[in-house]
Amino acid sequence: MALPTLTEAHIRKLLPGVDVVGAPLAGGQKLVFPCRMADSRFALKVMLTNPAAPQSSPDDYSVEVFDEATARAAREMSIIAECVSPHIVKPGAIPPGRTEINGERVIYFSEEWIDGRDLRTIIRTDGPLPLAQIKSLGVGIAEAVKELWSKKKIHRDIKPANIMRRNGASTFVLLDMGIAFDVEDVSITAPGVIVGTMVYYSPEQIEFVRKRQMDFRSDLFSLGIVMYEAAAGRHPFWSAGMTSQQAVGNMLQVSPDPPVTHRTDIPQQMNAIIMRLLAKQPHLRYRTCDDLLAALASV
Amino acid sequence: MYTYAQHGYGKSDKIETAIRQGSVSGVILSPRDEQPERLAQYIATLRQEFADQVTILFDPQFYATTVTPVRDGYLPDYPYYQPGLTRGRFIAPLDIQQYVSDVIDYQLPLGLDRIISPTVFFSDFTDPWSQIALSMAQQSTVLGAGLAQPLLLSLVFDETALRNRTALNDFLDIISVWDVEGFYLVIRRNDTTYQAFSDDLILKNLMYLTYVLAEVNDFEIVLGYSDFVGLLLHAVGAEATGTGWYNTLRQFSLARFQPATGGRPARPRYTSDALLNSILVVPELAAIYQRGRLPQVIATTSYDGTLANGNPANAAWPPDVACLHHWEVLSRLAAEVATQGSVAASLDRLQERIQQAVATYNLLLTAGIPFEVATGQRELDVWLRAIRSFRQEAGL
Repeated sequence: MALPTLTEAHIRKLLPGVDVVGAPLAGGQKLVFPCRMADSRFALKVMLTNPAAPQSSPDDYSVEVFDEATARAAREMSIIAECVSPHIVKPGAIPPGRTEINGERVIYFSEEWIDGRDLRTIIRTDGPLPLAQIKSLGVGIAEAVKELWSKKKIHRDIKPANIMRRNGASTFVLLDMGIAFDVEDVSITAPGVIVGTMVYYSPEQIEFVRKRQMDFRSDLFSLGIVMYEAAAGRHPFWSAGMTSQQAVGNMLQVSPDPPVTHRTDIPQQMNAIIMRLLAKQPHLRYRTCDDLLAALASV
Repeated sequence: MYTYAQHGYGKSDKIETAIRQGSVSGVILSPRDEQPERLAQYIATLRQEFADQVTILFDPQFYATTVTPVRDGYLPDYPYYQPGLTRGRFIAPLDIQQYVSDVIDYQLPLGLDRIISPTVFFSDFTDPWSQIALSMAQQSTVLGAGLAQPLLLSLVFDETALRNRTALNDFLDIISVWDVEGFYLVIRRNDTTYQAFSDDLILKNLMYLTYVLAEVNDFEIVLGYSDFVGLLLHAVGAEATGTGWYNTLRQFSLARFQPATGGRPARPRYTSDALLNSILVVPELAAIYQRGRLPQVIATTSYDGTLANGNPANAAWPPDVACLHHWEVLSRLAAEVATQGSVAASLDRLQERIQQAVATYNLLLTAGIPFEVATGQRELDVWLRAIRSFRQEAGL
């Protein structure tokens, strides 16, 4: 799906009192504007809705009326509003809404502004993380997965680009609940459609016929890939020049070299934790997030 | 905790004797074989004499409700039991909820150490009965959440289900996140020959199932009707295995709940730790004595003097003594295997034991001592193949 074409001027007109304080960032299907209102900083996310979706009352913000993009935005807002973990992004100052600008129907919502960098940028620019940071990453995202699962939700798109490290505190925050999956709710995704970023999928996510059987351990597999990358500076199943099909084949069938083969200062316990998270079968990972957190605490 | 007495008909006082001697540390009670009042009294007696030295479990044997024709003994005297239930009686969630709560409620006042959930028997992890078993287990987790005693979910299924590894993996994915203390597993055996796990794939996958639940996911795993095969399961993390005095209490068959088709009295057997088997006193142990090889198979328990000091063919070896001896040997072996410090070390020790047993068998065969198929070394080869295959897969 394309990105909306609206500008800072459109935002100021749409939301008087809101200052756009930086250039918009393109992320997936969303345009993200760094904003400020009074003393509050937040990220305003804007995405196109399906032009074929029925045109109903602009104030009627509900999954039933809107299309898939709107439903995902609604779900994302609903999830982050429910969660209290400091490792899950919080709602911003502007309530969700939708409008038509420049002939485009868009939906917008806001999230807290996080001062920091995303993990993909950190790994690309700084290289692998120090051990204490890998541990902090594991703890933070495990806490986030734990809270999501307490509400029977799975994130399904855990990847470095969706993880921010806060400046100063150096804690990690999970973003982008747009494709989170509620195992007790109707599926927003059409049958047979895979969502998420493929090289961070779990094996059960790839074998989408089993999707309804997924649980939080799918997110733990993705966390395993992220921690591997943070530790070794490379993806466990994919390397440059490889097709996504080859990477998926590796994810389903190949056990990667342990991180310690790429970086000798990784302690055996951390090495074992990452390898256990990368087990092909969910029942070989961790039974609970608390078990994972206990294992991380012992490193 | 390693060996539990698998209770059945004709318990006499051997369970108490074995507990006093430290040969068994728990008991799995069978309502089919005891009236409700007598069983409740028996639990109270065990608790009074042994306090927390014994783990007392009650297998509700709800799975007998779907067996037809059924030989269910005293089970109809138990208020939760309903004979002749068909699949249609498991469709309504309210019915399942009622079965589960009846079974759990019955156990609550008995003074048990664990509550065991009801289940139905299934042949395959993909058949409709397995879905019913999962529904009952799921319901049990809901009702078990607030109980004072820990809950063990029971699962009773055919050994051939373990051939389908994909289905087993999917099944494990479901049950391995449940919030319960553990599982009570009973595997129906298709070969009534003693011990008889003729297929190393089935045995390897049973080890995998036990390992995943016990070692990887930290559940308490109790395997009923396990006997010598239990040694392999202790090596991969099983908390306890059950075995009793009859062959029907050492390996599980639904025939135990079906009308008897005749049979012959059991022949006296002697359990040898050196052979990892129970061999016939006559002619096998007697032949070993006659060839002067007795020291190589005698187990040196407190009961062996009777047989070790003369021709076993002429010695008294009553069934109760044979059972007490069997429990002592098995519990000693189980403790040896399970206390090596890691699964890999336990498997190392067990493999050494099995290889020594193979060598002893070969020595005896060379000396011209014949064994029946069921008491020979066939099992040992299956065990070694299963262990090697399991270790390769688990990276141990």
